[in-house]
Amino acid sequence: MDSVSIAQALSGPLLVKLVLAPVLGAVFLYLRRRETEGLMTGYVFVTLFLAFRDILFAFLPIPDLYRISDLLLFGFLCRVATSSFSRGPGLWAVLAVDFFAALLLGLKALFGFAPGLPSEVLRFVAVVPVVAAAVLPSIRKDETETPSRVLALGFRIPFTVGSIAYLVVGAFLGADSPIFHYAAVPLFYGLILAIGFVFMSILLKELVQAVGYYEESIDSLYELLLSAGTAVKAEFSIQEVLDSMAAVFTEKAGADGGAILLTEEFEEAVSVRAVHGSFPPPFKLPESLPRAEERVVDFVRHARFKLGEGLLGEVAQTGKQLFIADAALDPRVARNGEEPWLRLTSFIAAPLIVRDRIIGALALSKSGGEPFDERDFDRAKLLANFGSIAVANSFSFLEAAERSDIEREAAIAEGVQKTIVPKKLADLGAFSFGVFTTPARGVCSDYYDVIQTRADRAVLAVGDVAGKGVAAGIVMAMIRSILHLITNSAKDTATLLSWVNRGISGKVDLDHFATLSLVAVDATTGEAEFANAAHQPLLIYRKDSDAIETVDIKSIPIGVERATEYSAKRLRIRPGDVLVMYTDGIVEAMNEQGRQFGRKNLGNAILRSRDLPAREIAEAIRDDVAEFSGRSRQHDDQTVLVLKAKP
Amino acid sequence: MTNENLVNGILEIRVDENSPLFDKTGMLHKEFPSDFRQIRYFTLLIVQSAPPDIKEINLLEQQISEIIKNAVKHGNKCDVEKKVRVWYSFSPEHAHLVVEDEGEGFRDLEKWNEFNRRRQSCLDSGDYEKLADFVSFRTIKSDDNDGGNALFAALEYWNGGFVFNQKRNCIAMLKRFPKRRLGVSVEGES
Repeated sequence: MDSVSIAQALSGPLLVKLVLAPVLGAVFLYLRRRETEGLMTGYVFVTLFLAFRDILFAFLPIPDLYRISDLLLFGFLCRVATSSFSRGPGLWAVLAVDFFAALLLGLKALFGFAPGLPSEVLRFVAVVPVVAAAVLPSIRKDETETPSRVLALGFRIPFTVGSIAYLVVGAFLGADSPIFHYAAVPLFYGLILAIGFVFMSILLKELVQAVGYYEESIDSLYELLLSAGTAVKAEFSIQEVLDSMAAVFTEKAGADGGAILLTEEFEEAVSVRAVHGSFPPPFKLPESLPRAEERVVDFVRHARFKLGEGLLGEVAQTGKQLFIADAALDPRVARNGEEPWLRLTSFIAAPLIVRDRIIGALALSKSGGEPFDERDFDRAKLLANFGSIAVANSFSFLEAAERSDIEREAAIAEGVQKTIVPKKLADLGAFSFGVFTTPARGVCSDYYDVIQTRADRAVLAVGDVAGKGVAAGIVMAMIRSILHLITNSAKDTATLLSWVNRGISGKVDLDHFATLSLVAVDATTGEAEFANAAHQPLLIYRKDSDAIETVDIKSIPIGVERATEYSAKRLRIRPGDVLVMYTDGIVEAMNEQGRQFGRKNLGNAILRSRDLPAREIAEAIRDDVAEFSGRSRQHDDQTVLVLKAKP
Repeated sequence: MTNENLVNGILEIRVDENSPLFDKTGMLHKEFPSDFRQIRYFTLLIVQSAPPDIKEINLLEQQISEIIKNAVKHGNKCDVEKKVRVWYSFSPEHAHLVVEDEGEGFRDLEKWNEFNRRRQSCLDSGDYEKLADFVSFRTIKSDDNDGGNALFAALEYWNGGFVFNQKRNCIAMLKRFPKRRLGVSVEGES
């Protein structure tokens, strides 16, 4: 073929076709990236086929070649147009007829086979796939409307009419007629192009609908989060959150009634926690339950299912959604009676899931009117997803609030203890004092005091209130007030203890037990008096013997019995002596091996630090206990009060 | 939550010197004179080391108080010279106690189990007339203040075990608190 014939071919109808084909190709390639069903890929191949046969025909202008290509083209088009439907053997029958005609035509053209059979008649067999493309597609009930299905169904009449017109015009004019190639073929290109544009408009329409749907969804999620959020007020209640969420779920999913179920904290069960609107139970009501609306509503409100039991128990166990469009036809839905408020027509249930954990379920009902559709189901699932987060957040909030209550109480108790103990210890000249107290978190029940009664006299007190926290703090404050009031009297320490006991016993409706030991000292004479209410024995380092002396008086704690009489022991403190009062948190401090610090270790600590000033002895004991305990948890307050007689 | 004290569906007090519940490693320890007036005080001293997260602290307190009361009253016969020793440890998930007295040991243990079995069979067979004989467990030593029901409640409460040593003067018990959880794992992914 020389350059002249190429020019001739180009100046003919080919030019029009070569302009149209790329446009067609471009349109289908563009659409191919915007759909997921692969339909447009088929049309891209149709376009390639068209372009190829037209170029071929321009150089080999054999009418039968064009006729055969028409048969192949329509067979291919039929297959592509119906590709999104289940077509069964019908398609294969159609294609067999079509390709057989093409084969006959080929044999006829090449070998003069069946010369009596007009070629145009054989070409007209292409009507079979054209009609098939219009007849084969149909949507079964359980199939959804996808864009390619909408296209096939919506465009079948223009396609059939246009294609038959093309075939008829071709038959009349002949496949080699210039008019056919100048007008009919380009028009047919236009028909294929129209398929592209119709498809484009279908996609656009779908997009607009989706945008509308998502706008609505965002709106309902906003409402949902708002309802969950506004319920978080000073008086926080999970119930309020659930109630307002049930209302939003119901309204936004277009339901007549809705319920929120939550899995239980300790049991393998799920229970109804909030109900909104009219919610006819989808589960079987007990026969014995009167079918009175109030009774049934109350029953539903408190309904509870083991995981896996019944419709709702199953959703809470498997995490699978449930969509029952027509409840009357579904055997899973229980029929509880004919009363209108028991009539359930449509039902949706979706699990509430947070991080792979099912925390409950959302149930929505319709009592008449339009049943739920796919979009309602989608909306319900979306609401359930976001609702789950809101519910989980509420629980986290509640837990944090509980925790902060505990923390706050601990902080208050610590504050009470801090205000009660003296800021600065007295200085009696010959006697100096040292102290340390380490409260255990949340306990704060140790008490110590040095109450100066005269320039050279003081009453030392160390006590331990039974119990902990604010309650212990109140008892501690009472003991302190009584002590400060009575220490100025000339009474001995035993009487002081008896008075404190009488002041505390049976007065308030509160556990009020405490151990308390008192030591009254006179720095001038070195005389001392010790009285004890079940507190730890007194340890005294004696400089004379360079040993620890243990002084104890058996007795019962403050607050056990009003009539308890306490007794006292007289002591003498000489220069260089060290007197140590302490609480059980010291001797019972445990190390990592589970052994207690004990009185012996305490005595040794005193012995080692006996030559230090009182303040440093206290510090040395603190360090010893801390070293002994290592990393084990401190479970009780630790307090040590040291008196040292200057040598 | 299962109860370790169930033997063939019936609550039973067991004697097992080798029970792991007697392992006192890492437990806090206190000892008290057998002074009946101070039981409430001793109980408070023990319970004060329980973490604040334990929800039903009052019930725990009540149960511990009953055990100490038994040791003081039935074990040591309120003899203040005799001691009650208590080992204890608490966490948000458990309460573990070992309580030892200096008494002769719980002699009527088998009688109690038998009493409870018969009581249970009355309940099972619906023989409520006969059940009236099994309302409360009493021995010749019981006084008017002994309800005779404390042990039933204890066996129900100490769901991790309630075991006596061979001498029956020391008892170890464990309470497992249910663990709070949010939700159940999606099936097949647990």
